[in-house]
Amino acid sequence: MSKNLAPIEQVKSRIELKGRAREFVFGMQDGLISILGLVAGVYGAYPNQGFIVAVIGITGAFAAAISMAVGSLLSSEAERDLLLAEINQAYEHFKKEPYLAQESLLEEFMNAGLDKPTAYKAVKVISSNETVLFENFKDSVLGLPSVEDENPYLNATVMFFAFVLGALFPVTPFLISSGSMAYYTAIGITGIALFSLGFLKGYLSNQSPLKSASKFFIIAVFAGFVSEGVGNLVSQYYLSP
Amino acid sequence: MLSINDKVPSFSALGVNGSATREYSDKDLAGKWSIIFFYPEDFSFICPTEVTGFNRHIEEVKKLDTQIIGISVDPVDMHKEWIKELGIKYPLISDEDGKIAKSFGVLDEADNRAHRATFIISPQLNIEFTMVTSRNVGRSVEETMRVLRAIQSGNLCPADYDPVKEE
Repeated sequence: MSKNLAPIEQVKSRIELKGRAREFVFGMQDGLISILGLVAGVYGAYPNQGFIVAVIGITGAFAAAISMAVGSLLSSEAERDLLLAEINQAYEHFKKEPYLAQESLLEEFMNAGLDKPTAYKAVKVISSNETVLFENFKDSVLGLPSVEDENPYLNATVMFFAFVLGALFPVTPFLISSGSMAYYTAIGITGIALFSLGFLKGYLSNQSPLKSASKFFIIAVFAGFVSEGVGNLVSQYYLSP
Repeated sequence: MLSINDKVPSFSALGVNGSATREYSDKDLAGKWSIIFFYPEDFSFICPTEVTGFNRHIEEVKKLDTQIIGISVDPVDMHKEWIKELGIKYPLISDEDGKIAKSFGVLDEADNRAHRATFIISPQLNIEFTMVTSRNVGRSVEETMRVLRAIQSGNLCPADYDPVKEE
């Protein structure tokens, strides 16, 4: 990479990182909300048994993190396989009718604002290399991303650890305490974690960080109280002597 | 569409030869053989294969006392750039309103562009050969040249007869 292209390389890295942030934000917010819901529900049923709440929280967190990671892996792989099949099909078509690829690329360039002679010359230059022509046809005309952009295993790993990290917030208070103290601490720090995550998500997506953070926070508090209510109800109907 | 022995309809439009622009009309066809070919548009990727195909035969065409004229709905300025881009050595007529293509019966009215149509016209302005192909299929320049040679031989010509190969 020549030195003067370094800023572009930085932009590419940032875009790639933002793409990975999707898995991180999704995994962590799921870990925070679902495990907060779980521990709040169990707390509702067993308000004074912090250890039980913690064990169920940890077990649930790992089970759900594995499930989320496997889900991410399988869906990423499926998406990758489908994408690869589409690219192969597009390549077969391209080999049969290269003129069609040139004509459609010409139209694409003209739609983007080039005049016809300039667009023609650009496509002609690109056409001097079959691979370059196909890549441009694939990206600009068909809108198919490159397969190399996707890494299913990395996505799954990010998802797993993000989920576990998220789950730590609602579970930890029950490891070191119990009762309402642990419960409200769990809701509090989960809310703060979600607020921060929402802030980060807003910042990365160039939206209002405060708006995004508030949305995440409200969802967390809502999930915590609803789950506790469900736990209370279940314990009243099924666990009462 | 015009057919064999039909007279060339009268027309008049601006055309470009090299960098020179002038008015072309059916009168330019009188007294010598002509290959008139219509094509959809300049700066596309099928058309130049045909346009340069005719260009490669320009010397032979001259020896056969024949002229080649290409016609599309593109404006004169576009033709100028196209001629420069491909090094075309024969005139391109600008049929912007599609009237010439329509009078020959080869205008695709759906998008106001000409079909890929080829006509060989005698010095007496009679149509001697017509061929039109689908938009997606480029015409055979070799076949047009063979037919021109066969017609000019004045012989009764069996399939694929080519005076050049008979010599």
